[in-house]
Amino acid sequence: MTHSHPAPTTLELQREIDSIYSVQLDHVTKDFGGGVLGLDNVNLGFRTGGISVLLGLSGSGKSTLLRHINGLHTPTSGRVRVLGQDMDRLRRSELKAVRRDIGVIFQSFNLVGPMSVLENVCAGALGSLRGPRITLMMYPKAIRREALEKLDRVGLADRAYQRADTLSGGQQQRVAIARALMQHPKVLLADEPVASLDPVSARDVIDLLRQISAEDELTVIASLHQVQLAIDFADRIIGLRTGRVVLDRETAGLSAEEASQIYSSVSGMDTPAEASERAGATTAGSHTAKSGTEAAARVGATR
Amino acid sequence: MSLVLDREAPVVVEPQRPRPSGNSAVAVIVLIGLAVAGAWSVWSLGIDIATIASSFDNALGFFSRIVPLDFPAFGETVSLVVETLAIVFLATLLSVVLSIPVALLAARPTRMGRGSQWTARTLIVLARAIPDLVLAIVFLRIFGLGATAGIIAMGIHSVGMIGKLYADAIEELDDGPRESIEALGGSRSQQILTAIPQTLMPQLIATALHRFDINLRTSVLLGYVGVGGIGLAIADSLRTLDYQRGMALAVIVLVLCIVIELVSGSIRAALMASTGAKITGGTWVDRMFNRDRATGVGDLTLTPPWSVARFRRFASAAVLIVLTIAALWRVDVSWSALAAGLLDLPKTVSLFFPPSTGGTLANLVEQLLVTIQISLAATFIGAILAVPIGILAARNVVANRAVHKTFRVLIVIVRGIPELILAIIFVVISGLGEVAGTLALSIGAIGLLSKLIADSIEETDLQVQEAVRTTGAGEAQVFFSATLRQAAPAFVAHIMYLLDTNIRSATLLGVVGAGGIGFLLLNASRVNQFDVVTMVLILMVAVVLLVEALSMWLRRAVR
Repeated sequence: MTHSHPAPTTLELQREIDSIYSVQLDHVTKDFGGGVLGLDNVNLGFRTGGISVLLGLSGSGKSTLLRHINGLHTPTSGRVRVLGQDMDRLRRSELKAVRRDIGVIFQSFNLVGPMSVLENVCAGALGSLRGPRITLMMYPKAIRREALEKLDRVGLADRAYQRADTLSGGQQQRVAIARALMQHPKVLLADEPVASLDPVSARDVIDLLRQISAEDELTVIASLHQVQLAIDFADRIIGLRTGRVVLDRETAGLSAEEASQIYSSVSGMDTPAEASERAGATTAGSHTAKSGTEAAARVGATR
Repeated sequence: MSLVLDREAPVVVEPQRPRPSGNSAVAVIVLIGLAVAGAWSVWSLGIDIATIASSFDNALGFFSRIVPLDFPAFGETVSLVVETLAIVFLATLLSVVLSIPVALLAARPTRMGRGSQWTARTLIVLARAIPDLVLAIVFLRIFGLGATAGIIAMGIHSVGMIGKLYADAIEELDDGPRESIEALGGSRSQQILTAIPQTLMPQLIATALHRFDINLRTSVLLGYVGVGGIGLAIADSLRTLDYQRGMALAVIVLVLCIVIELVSGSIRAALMASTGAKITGGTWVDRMFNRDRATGVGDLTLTPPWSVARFRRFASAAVLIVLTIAALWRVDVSWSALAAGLLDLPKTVSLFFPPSTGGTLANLVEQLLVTIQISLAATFIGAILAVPIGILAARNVVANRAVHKTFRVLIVIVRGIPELILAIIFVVISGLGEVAGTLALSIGAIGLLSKLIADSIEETDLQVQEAVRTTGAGEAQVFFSATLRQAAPAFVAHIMYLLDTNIRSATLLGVVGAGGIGFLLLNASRVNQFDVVTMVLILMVAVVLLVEALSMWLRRAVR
């Protein structure tokens, strides 16, 4: 496993690991109670500056994983380490400080609808401002200017004074990206950022994310469910199923056949080839679970 | 027919009819019991055709006594109206100011902790359970006669409704925007103040306006215990049997209520329409303020342009401030009396404890039973008349436009008349006592219930009716098997809600002489038996909570 990190032996080694991996998950398990495991012994290290995509069906643990990284969830057991900090050992103020360095993009954009676009972007700077702001004019002029620049970067400066809920979905997601940029994040988490968008807007948003992460050297961790979009976007793909990592590989030099295997391993469904292979056999047992692990094993072997 | 059956019979296995669940069986028994109690109350209060007929005779005498109506001089009228509006405005404003923190503590996404959430929810329930009339009696004792006590009483009681609706609104809000501020490292107050105010503003204002309507009606009642405004003038003239003046003032209240309801209704409609509205190229206001508005990105301004929306926000804030100052000036709140009253608070509160029956418990219980009878009877009469009216007013039952429009208008008119005015009229017509209270409440009940029933019929799924209609069913069959079946649980909920509000109203109407425990309440406060006021309050709150628990259970059982 190229990406899981060795156990820390000394402080120095830990520092070195931290500099290579912005985000580390060490034997992370999340028990939602009643035997429902959101995450099941997940070991992952995310390289600084890389783009990783989590693939999986809904309920596979993608959102749960992302929410552990910015401390909206705490693990039942195991350790989450982000930007050199153990998330579960932080005090409230320290947690806020780490969150300031982590930008989050949501599936439903989570803009304040009746508020102007510019004010929504300004809100991205709240983490570094003291006290609440109830109108745009309460933000310092420098923040407002910067927000306008970020809006220009996502191509929406001319919409600055429009209500956010009057924009199209794709535009709202770009505003949300501008808001995240106000944090000067080192890590960008995106939870199904294009799931509510039409294919053209989805492609636009993904392209924008890719461009921004390259320019700002961001560590990006996104969850998606379209395999092709993930392959085009990411350097690395991680497949999740029922809280377990079932696949983990680089996207460079991926063939079409391998892409189809990725799909089957993540969804737990047979690829056409496997289906015809098994057509003769009459074993009715737990095909889905078996084929998934088989595919994972095969993908592991190809590396 | 038999041919079809013969063909089908061998294939279909007769399914076992499931036993009705225990809860719904008990619910039906309880509902029947309530209906019987309602009918018995009507009979035992002596309300029958003969009574109503004799009331009709009295009504003729009543008209001869009130004609000609003696309207006060124009200046005096304006002065009374402005005073009443000022009291109601300040009371509503106070309750909004009190409700916002309470609602934030009571709503799940914004609560500080379980303990404070529970405290806030309890405060809301308590504020709702204690009638503003009782609060007014308490505060009149503390702050002396005048508007202050009324404002504070209505302000606190209204938290019971406004606080609950605000908390519900916060809980129904999409939590995503708040969470996104949390995710980027925003503090708790930043999360709340960025994500919530602008989104909720239309609802906050709409709720406040709705409460303004209700408080306007209540303020008349508070006149009876000494809070100023039109209510006090009505109480004074009726006490001196000056019906010509009293009824003229009642007419003024009626007109005022209708005007305010129309105004607040149109403001609410405009608020709701403007949410999520698309911003177009701009109106003449935009053009007037932004003649040289930059379009290039490089020279975009850092201050928002004066759009219609921004102008409207500033203007509304300015109007609110001006109205507050004007209202404070008009009612002449005596701050020194307020401070002195607050200092004396422990001593005053001790007057209300320990609770006492003021002589005989039997008398209290008897009057409480009369109040319950009045509300049962009024709910019974209201339900019997409101169900057909509500059905006829529903647009998806009666195809004839003229019919359902007529009934809708009828409902609006009936709802426009404050119950208190009705009670005063019936007290004058049929004399002091239970009959007046029951008749007044019944008419109020018809107005409220028929609207709720018509609304819930219109909310039923039209496609179900279509499905039944396509099988070739007649209109009556469609109505009974599709429409009524869907709306029935809502009917039960509405009728229980009506019973609940009627118990409160029956108590309050007792104050103007419409029978029941309310009259004892008024008398006790007049002769400074504040410990009796406490006792009455405890009995009342117990009954109200009991009915509320019963109706909560029933609503769940019939669903």
